[in-house]
Amino acid sequence: MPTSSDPTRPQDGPELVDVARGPIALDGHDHRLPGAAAAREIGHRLGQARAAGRAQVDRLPDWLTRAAGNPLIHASLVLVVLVLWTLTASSNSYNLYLAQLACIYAIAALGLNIPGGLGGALSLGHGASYALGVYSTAILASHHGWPVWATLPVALAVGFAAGLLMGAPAGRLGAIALAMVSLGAVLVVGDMILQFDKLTGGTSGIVNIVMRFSWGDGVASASALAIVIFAVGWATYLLHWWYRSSARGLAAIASRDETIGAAASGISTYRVRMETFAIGSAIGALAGALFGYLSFVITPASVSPALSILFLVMVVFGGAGSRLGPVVGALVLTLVPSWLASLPHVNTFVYGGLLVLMMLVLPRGIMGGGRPSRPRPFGELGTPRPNSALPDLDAGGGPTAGADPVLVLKGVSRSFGEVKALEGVDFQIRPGEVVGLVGPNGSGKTTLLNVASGMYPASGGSVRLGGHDITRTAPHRIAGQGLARTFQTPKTFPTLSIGEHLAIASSEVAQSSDERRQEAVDTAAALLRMGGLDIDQPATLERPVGTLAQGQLRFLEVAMSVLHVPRVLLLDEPAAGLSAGEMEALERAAKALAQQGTAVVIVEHHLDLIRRLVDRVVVLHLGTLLWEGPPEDLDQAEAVRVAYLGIQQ
Amino acid sequence: MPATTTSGLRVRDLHVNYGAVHAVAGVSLSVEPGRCVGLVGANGAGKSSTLHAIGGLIPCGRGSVIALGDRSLQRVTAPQRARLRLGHVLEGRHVFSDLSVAQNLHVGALAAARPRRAAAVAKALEVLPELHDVLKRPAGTLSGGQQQMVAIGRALAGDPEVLMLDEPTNGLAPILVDRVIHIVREVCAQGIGVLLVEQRLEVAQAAADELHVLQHGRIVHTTTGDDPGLAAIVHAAYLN
Amino acid sequence: MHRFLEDVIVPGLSSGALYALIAIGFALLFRVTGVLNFAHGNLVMVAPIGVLVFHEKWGLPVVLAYVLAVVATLTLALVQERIAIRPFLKAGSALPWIVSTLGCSVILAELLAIPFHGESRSFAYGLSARPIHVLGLTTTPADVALISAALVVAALLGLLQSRTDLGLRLAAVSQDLLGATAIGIRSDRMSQIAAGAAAVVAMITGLLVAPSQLVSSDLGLSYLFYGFVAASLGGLGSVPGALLGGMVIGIGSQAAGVYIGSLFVNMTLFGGLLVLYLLRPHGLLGRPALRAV
Repeated sequence: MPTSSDPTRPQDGPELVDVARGPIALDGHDHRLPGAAAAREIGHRLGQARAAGRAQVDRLPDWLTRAAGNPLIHASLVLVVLVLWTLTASSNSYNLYLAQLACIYAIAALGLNIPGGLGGALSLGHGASYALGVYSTAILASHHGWPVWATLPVALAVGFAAGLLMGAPAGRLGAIALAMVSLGAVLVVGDMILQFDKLTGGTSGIVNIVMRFSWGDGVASASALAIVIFAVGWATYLLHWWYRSSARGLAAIASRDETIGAAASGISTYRVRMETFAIGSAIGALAGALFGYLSFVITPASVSPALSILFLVMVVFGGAGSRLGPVVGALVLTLVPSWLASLPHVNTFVYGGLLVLMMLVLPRGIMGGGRPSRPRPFGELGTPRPNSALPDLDAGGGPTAGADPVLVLKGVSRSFGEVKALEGVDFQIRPGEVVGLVGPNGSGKTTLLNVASGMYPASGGSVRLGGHDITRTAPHRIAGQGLARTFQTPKTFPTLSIGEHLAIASSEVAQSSDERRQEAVDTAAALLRMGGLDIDQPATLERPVGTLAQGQLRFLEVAMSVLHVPRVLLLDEPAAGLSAGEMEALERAAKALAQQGTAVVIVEHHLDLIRRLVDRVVVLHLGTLLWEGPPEDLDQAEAVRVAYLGIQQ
Repeated sequence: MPATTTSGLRVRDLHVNYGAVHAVAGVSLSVEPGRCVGLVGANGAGKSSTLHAIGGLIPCGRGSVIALGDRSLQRVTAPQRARLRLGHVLEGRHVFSDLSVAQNLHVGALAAARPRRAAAVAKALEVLPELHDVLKRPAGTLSGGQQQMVAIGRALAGDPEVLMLDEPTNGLAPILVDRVIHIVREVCAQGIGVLLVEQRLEVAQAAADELHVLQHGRIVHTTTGDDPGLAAIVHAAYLN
Repeated sequence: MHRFLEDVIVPGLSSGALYALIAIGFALLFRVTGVLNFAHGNLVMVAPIGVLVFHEKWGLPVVLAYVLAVVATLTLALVQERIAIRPFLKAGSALPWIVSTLGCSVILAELLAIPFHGESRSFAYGLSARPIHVLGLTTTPADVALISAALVVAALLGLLQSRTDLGLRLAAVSQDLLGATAIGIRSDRMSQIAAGAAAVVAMITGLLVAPSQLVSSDLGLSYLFYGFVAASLGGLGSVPGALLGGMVIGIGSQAAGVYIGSLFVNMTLFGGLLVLYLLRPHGLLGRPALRAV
C-alpha cells in the first residue's frame, strides 16, 4: 500500500496492480468495539427494516406509489399543509418558529449534501457559506432596505462565488486536505466578519433584519416570512432531487464511489468538485439569508465553526447522498435538541456521541444511500432493437484492410521508482482488429493498458490515438476521445443501480454515426441479456450492482464500455472468473465490436480464448515485447514457452 | 504414511468465501519440516487466498482446520501466527522502504524468541549472502529482485518453522528465478518447511518435493517426483 | 533589529514551539495510523483544566492534581483510540475517522466546558509567566520551557524511532501495515502506543502553554488549524518536519500579526496553506507520494 504523507492526493481506488485482488482484511483481527458484532447486527437489522418498509410501500397500488415517489407531488402536499398551518397558527407560536428553523437547516443540509454526500467531498466550510448568506442579507436588508427578492439572489451569487473559490483547490485535494482547507475558510470568514466591523457591526452584529417585498415598503408579516421560508425549502428540495437524478448528479456519485472507473467513463472529477461545491455553497448561503430574516438580530456568535459541524452531522446522520436523508437529519437534529434544551450539555454530548456511534454502527445514516433514480438507461443512443443478438464466432469480418492504425504506442517506457514496468514497447492496432496481449504476471500488460488509457503518463515514448498525441492527456479526456477500457476488478459504482450505470455510460459518447450508435446499444443489450440481466424489466434496471455476481458485473462493465461507442476498447483479463458459457458470450461480443470497426485489445491468461478470438498475439515479458504473431504460431514460439511456462537453466 | 507427526503445518478442509464467491473450496495439505510443498494454479484458482487464510490475514470458514505443530491457529491473530513461527512472504514483497535492509531484518527478527534472534538473522544472511552488500541501503532504493531477497530474509529472521512464499518469482528475470529456487531448497535443507505458491509450473516443479494443482478452489491433482502427465493436467487446469 | 527580535522572533519562536508541539502530536498518530485526530486540540487542554479542577475545585494538592490530570489525559486518549481511531486504522477512506474524531472533539470540548461554565481561567500552577531577561531579550520562563520542550521532544522521538525496537515496529506499521502484520507486529498495540505518545505530547503542550494564556475549553479549533498547517508545511507524518513547520508558522504568523494586523493572521495562514498545496503538497520534508505498482 502506498505510504503517502501527501494529504492532497485524492483518495482514488485500490492501487493498480497486475494481480486481481479480492477484499483482504488487514489482519483478520476485528478492531472494532467489543460490542462490534452487536453493533453490526443493529445496523443490519435497521437495513432490513428499511428494506421491509420499502417493500411495504411497493405493495401499495401503483398510482399511489408513483404519486408518493414523485417529488413534485409529495413536496407540494407538505408545502400546502405548512402554509395552512402558518395561516391558522398564532403569531407567537414557538412550534412554528421551530418548523421554520428546521426548514432552514434542511435547506443548508440539502446544500451540503451536494458536494458532501453526492460528491463525497468532506467539507467543513459549509458554515462559511452560511455566514456569507447571513451577513450579506443582513447588511442589504437592514442597512439598505433591500427587498427579499433582491437579497436572496445576492446571497445565492455570493455563495456560488465562494463555492467556486473553495472548490477550485478542492478539486485537487484529498479528503484530509479538503477538511482542513474548508475549516480554514470558516475561520477566515469569522475573522473577516470581525475585521470589517463597519460593515458587519463587529461583535455587536446587526439588528433589524426585516423582510420587505419592495423597496421602502413596510415590513412583511411573520406569516409571510414563514411562507417564504417554506416555499424556498420546497424549491430547494425539488432542485436537489432533480440534481441527484440528473446525469450531473450521477457523475458526482460515480466520481465519489470509484474515481478511476469514473474517469474511464469520461467523468472529470475536477469539474464535478467545482460544480458541486458552487451549487452546494450557493444553497448554504440561501439558508443563511433566510436565517438572518428569521432571527431579526445576528451576531458573529450565530455563525461559528460549530455550525459547520452541525450541518455535517445532519447530512451524515440522515444519510449522505440520499434525497430524503438531509431533511430527516435536519428535522431530527433540530427538534430533538429543542426537546433536550432544558438539559444543559446533553445536546452536545448527543451530537458528539452520534457522530462517533454512527461511524461504527450505521456509517451510511438512517436513509442509507437512498433509492436509485430512474434515468433513461440509453440516454440519447436510442433503444435496443428487440431481436438483437451477438454474431457467432465464425462469422466473417476482420481488420479493415489498409486502414491506418487507430492506437499507436511508440517506445513507451514506464518506471515506478526502481521498478521498470515497461521498457521501449512498440504497439499498434488497426480499426476492426482484435489483438491479444499475453504474458506472465509482472510482465507489464496492465501497465501498458494503464499508460494507453492515461492512468499514468509514460516515462518515455509516445501514445497516439487516431493521430492525436495523448501521452499526457487526462484519462477522462482520453475516454471522451473514444478509448474505453475495463479493469481486472470491475470498477463499477457500488451505490448505483444498473440503469444508472448505463445512463452514465451513454452520457459520454464519442463522435459516431447513428448506425454505429444503434449497433452499440444492441450489442450492450445483448451482452446484458446473456449475463442474465433482462433490461426490458424496470425491476432489473433498479437493481443495485452490489447484488450482481462477478460475471454479471463484468458484463455490465463491458456493456458500459460498448455504450461509449469507442474506437478502441481495452479489456483487462475480462474472462477471469467466468464460466465457459460466459466466456463464449464475451468472445462473441468482442467479435461483434470488431465487426463494427472497434479496435479491441484483450489482455488474457486464457490461451484458448486468445487462440479462438484474436487476429494477432503480442507477448510481453519483463516489460518488453518478446514476440508478436498470429495465434496459430503461439504454441511453437520458443520465446513464449520461456516466458510463460517458466524455464530452468 | 507415518503416524501423525505433530510438527509442521497441517491444513484440513479450508474454505474461504468472498461474499458469494467460493474462492477456496475445501483444500487440505501438510507441510513437514524440511519439505517443500508447491501449490500451482491459474489466476483466480485460489492460491493466494489459501495462503492468506493460513496466515490469518483473511477469515476462513468455520470447519477449516489450520494447525502448526500441535497448536491450532483457528483463534490466533495473524501477527501472533508469525510469532508462533509461521513465516509469510507476501506477494508484492511489502518491504519497509524507508528502513535499511539491516533494519528490515532486525524488525523481522522481533517475531522470534529473544534468545534466538541473533542466530536467526545470521542464518538469514547465510542463506542470502547477497544482502551483505546492501545492508545499509534503504530497502525502497533496491531493485525488485533485491527487495524480494530482503522480504525472504526478513521472514527467515523470524525463525520460522514453516515458511510460506506467495509467488516469489513474479516479475523476476530468469537468473533470479533460479536463485529463488536455490534459496527454497536451501531453506528446506535447514529443516524449515516451505509452502510455495507459484504460477509457473516449471519453477514449482524444480523447487518442490510435493506439488498440488489448484483449480477453482480445489486441489485436483497431487504429485511427488516425476509425473509425465503433469504438464497436460496443469495445462488443462490453466485453460479452464 | 532589537525590536524585530523582541517583537517578532522571540514571541514567534514560542508560539512556533507551541504549533510545533501540536504538529508533532498530529504527526505521531498520523504516521502510524493514518488518522489525523481532530480532537487533538481539545486533548491539549485536558491537562491544564484538569489541574484547575483537581486543585481549585476539589482542593487537592498541586502535585496530586498534576498526576490526576496526566492520568485523565491518557485515559481519554486511550478510550478515544479504541472507539474512534482503531476501527479506521489505515482505512482507505478518510471520511469515517474525520467524522468520528470530530465527534470526539465535540464531546471533549463540552466536557471541558462543564467545570467552569466555559469561562476562561488563568493558570498559576506552572512555570512563571513573569518577564525575565535572557541575552538582552525579554521573555518568560514558560516560553523558554516551551521552546526547549519542542526541541527536546523532537530529539527524543527521533532517537526512539531510530534506536529502539519499539521505534522500528512503529516505523514498520507506518510504512507497510500488511507487511508489518505478516511479520508479527500487532497493529492494535502500535495504534495504542501512538495514541498514548500523542497524548503525552498533548499534555506537555497544554501544561507548558497554560501559564502564558487563559485556559479555556474552546481553544481547540484554532489550535487544530495552526497545528495542521504547521504539520502540512513540514510534511504530514514527519516529526522534524513538524518542528520546522511549527517554527515557520510561529514566526510567520507573529510577523503577520505585527506588520499586517491580528485579524489577518488566519487569512495569511489560509493563503499559505493553499499555496503549499498547489506547489508542494507533500511539505518541506515529506516524501512525494509514489504510485505503487
